[in-house]
Amino acid sequence: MILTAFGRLLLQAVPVLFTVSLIVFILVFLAGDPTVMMIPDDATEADRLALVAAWGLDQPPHVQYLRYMSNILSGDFGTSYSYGTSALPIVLDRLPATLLLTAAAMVVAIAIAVPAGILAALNRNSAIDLAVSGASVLGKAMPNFWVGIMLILIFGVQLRLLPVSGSGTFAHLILPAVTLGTAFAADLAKLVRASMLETLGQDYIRTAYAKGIPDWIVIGKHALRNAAIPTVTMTSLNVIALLGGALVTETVFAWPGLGQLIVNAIYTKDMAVIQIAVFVITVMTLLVNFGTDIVYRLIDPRIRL
Amino acid sequence: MSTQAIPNSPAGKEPVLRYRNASVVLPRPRGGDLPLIRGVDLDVYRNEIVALVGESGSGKTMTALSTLRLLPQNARFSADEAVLNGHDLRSLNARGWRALRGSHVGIVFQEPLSSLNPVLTIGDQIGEVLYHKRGLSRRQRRAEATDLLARMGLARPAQLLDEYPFQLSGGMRQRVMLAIAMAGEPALLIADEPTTALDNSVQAQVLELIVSTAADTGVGVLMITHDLSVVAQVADRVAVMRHGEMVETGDVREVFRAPKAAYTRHLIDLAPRIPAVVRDPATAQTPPAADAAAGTPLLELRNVTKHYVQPGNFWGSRTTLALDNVSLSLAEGKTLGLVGESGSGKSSLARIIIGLSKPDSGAVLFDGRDLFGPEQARRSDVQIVFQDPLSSLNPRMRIVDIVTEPLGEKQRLTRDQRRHEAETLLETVGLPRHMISRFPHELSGGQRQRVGIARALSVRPRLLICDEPVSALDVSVQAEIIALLQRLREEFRLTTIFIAHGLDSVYAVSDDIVVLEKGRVVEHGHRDTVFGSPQHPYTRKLIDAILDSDPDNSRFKRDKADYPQAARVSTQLEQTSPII
Amino acid sequence: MTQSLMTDTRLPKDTEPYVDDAHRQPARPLRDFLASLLSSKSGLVGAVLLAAIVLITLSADILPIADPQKRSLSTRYLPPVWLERGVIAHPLGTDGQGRDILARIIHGARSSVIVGVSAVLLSGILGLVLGLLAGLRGGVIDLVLMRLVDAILAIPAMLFMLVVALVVGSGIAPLIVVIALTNWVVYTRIVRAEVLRVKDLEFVAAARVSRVRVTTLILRHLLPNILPAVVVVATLNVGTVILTESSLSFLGFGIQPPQISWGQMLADGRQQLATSWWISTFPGIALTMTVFSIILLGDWLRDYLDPRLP
Repeated sequence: MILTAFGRLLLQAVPVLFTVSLIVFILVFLAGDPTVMMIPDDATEADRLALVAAWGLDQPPHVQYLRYMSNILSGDFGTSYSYGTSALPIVLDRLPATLLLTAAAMVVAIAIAVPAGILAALNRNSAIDLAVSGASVLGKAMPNFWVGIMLILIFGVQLRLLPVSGSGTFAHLILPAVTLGTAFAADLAKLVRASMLETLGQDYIRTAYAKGIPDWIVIGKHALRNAAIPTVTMTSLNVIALLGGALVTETVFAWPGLGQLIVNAIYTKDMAVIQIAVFVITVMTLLVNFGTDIVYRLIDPRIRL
Repeated sequence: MSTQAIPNSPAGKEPVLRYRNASVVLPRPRGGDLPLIRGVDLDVYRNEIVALVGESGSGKTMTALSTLRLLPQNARFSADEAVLNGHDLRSLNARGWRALRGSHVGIVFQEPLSSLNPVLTIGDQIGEVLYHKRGLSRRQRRAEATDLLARMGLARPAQLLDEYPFQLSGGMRQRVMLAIAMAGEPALLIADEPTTALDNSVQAQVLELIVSTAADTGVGVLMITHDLSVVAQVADRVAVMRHGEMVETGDVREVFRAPKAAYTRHLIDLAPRIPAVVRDPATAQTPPAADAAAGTPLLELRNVTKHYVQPGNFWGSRTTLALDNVSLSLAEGKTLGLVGESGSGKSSLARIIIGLSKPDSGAVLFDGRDLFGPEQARRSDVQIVFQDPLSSLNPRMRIVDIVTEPLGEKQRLTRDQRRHEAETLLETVGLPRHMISRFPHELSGGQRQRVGIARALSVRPRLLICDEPVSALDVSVQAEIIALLQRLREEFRLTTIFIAHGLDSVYAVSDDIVVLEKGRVVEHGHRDTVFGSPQHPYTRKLIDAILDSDPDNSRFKRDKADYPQAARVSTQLEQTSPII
Repeated sequence: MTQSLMTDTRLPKDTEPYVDDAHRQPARPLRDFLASLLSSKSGLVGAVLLAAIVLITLSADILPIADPQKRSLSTRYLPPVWLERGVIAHPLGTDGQGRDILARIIHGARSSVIVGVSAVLLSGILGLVLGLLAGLRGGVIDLVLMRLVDAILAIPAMLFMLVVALVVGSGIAPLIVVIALTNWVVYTRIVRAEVLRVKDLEFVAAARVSRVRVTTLILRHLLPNILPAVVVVATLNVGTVILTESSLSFLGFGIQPPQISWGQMLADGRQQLATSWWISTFPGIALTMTVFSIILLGDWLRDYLDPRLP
């Protein structure tokens, strides 16, 4: 079963990585000459042209592409213009912070959304349902970074309870994790409610009720497991979105993750860092898909066998 | 489990289920109540099978579900008397209902796949009843579940416990459903159209199982069905419902012999019967051999083979053989009946003749010309009536545009000509002219199918394919549509291919019969030859599976000296059954 | 959100109450549409709120509000009118350059609405064409398009947009292009899936038996049955795109001064959070209200047009 999922991963990974590398190359090529950003202000035009030649940027596109691909395949992911060192370690250094934030945000999201969604579905059209649905729409409508700013305003500036930027302690994690977590909780709660309602309307739930077994078994055993499948899909999509570095939220909280690195790399047109970041994120996306596949198989025997 | 003695007379005995003046109403969103069933009187005794029969909207399923309180959330139930195995259903709370379900009443639903939980094993789904209703230990549960599955006629029951519903065929799933329903040893078994979703031959097996289970355990059975032949075959007593009310109840033989209500008589007249020739081949008409030789046939298939590629899973696709070297011919003006179980290739054949898919090899000749060759026949000479009258009509088009669509854009009809043509077509199929400006969802099922027929006729075809044209319709509507098709066949001098899974109706309308099994023609001949002296075992199996709507000719029923006395037929019900 | 009783109670097939055919009413599209909107509380709230927002945006120039670009040293960091130091001329206060927050919010709405609607239209049309192509043609076109869609979906959307923005540039028109170039995949996927679903329905087979032209098949049979789903997704998508626009502008890659956008105002206000909270609070509320009303309207529209959608 894991082997099947692994086979799927490989078959999916190769074309996706290839297409991604092509897209990235085209975009970087179109973004134009990065040397403007690199040279000192007092350099001459001749200095700049020398640099262009040294980086091979005067070659025609297909030659540049071939060299780019052969570099990638030999494990050379280029050198950061602004850091002056190999780009890969720079990106990998930021990974732990992003992983930590992702995990924390998912914990917050699941802890809020799953119980709320189930409660709303079980008490359809009640006050609870209305509150959950309303909160979910509101959560979707609020811009993420604004929620972050408001949390900073309340807990950092007014109440002075929590640090507003940086990392290092558990307290630093709380505000960014809550900011991201509530945003995903809004989507997730709505989905949990919908898939729970859909499941509760299925014939086999009617069969379960007709057996005269306790309600909590009907819900906990018969309904939850079936309703979990779409929930897993969305959770994995959210994890993918977060792994990409919550660009804006990390910027707001000065969280030293991938997101912040990427935003800075884009400001400085540090193409090597952008390229490798996109690659690393794509690989992680594929890995998350792999994990999701395995979870599906654990839940649903129709996929397993 | 031992066979219990059948009591000679239930008189004085308490029924397992007794309803007096039972009603279910559903509050309307804008106030007021919508009655789903009204004034229903019903008794089911131990050791008897009561059939609750009716068309869609008759309230038969609502009546059955009310015994388990599996009604829509805000529906209200009321009755003068509603007793199930000694429990007053009117005064039960949630805990009481839970105690009642499973241990006093069990249920088998119509759809065998969707009624079983896809992610739990068979053993788990039976075992939880044994645990919660009978308190058996893990080991006892396994033994008892194995025993139950074996009693339901399932091979290798022990292994089945660890399998999932999707690994089982439809018939097997329905046996598992029955095992679940019987696991709590209930006094009443509800069977809600338990065989409607199954193929005919599987249907007979499942019915037989229900009858024998009832005989073995003495459980009272309430069988919900729309099919009079099922009623005749398995029921001891029958209750007929219409528009939420009970029309007639009584002993099944008496009701079939002398129905009191006109509606019941109408239903019995339309019920499927085994063609006489099956029982007595001597009555067969000799096929008129002479005209078969005359001229070229209108339609001829030569060695048609078709594979379908199933997209399947990630690793690759699977190819299935839908049609295997099919040859047949059809003379002008004749009707060819196409029979076979689901998956036998009937619809694939129809799709090829109509030109929706191309054969991999072989030729389809229409009037001597190859439909897929360079010199094409006039395609509009072949038209089709689809199975599902709803999905075969574009929901966003008006009837006028639907029925005139085959006339084509090239003909450049004016708006008025189009209207006029549509009105004529609607009249031809027995619909009022004003319906041309309606949308499909504003019509009933039968009306939609008439629109589908009108569309097919608009180009005056010579060959009309009817692909299960009535199987989505109610019994009485089915009869109307069949009659309409028969009339039009003469009026338009149509050659017809008739596909259906009801063998009796195929026999009634066809001249010749083709029997398909797994894409191969196993028998082809005059209807009386095929039905009277079938040569192929598959044909025999199909014919054996036809259920006769004759209670005196039941293949399942145990011989009983005395049937339980029919419950009183209330006079009030008689009054509410006007002539149709 | 909408409370329609008929959808929450699951009636078995058998219980469709008997309706005499003579009493089936012909459809009246416009009346049904309005009746449905009026009977849905949340849909109505969304529609009214959104109408108000659009109306205010359109009449920004004739409303009695301050000039959104007028700087003044004397009015810097004025709080909202209900606080001490607040003045009636600047009801929601002023920013660090003395500009009126209310006026800037009202003018900023324009950027949001323009970007939201144009980007959705552009990506919707692109996705519709490509989705139809992939779904109807299949084969190599389908394969290549779907690989491209997969790859773009494997890159987080925000990241992809930032990289595209490096190429295309910033400002209103480039921003619309950037968002559309990322967003089309959503529509391509939905349209392709819908084409594959509808293509197998019997009325399409009937149309093919009737030998209608391919254009007729698409225009009369496929599109009318696909568009409702696309319209619902597009409506909700306007909200998402407005949020995206504000994020990009917040990071400085979107709308550039002197054009006003809410994201940009939030970025400004963030610097003075400790002293002048109102600069970043009110644009956020405006943004939330706008997207909130769009979602309410979209949810109702989905219930009305296409109950199958999640």
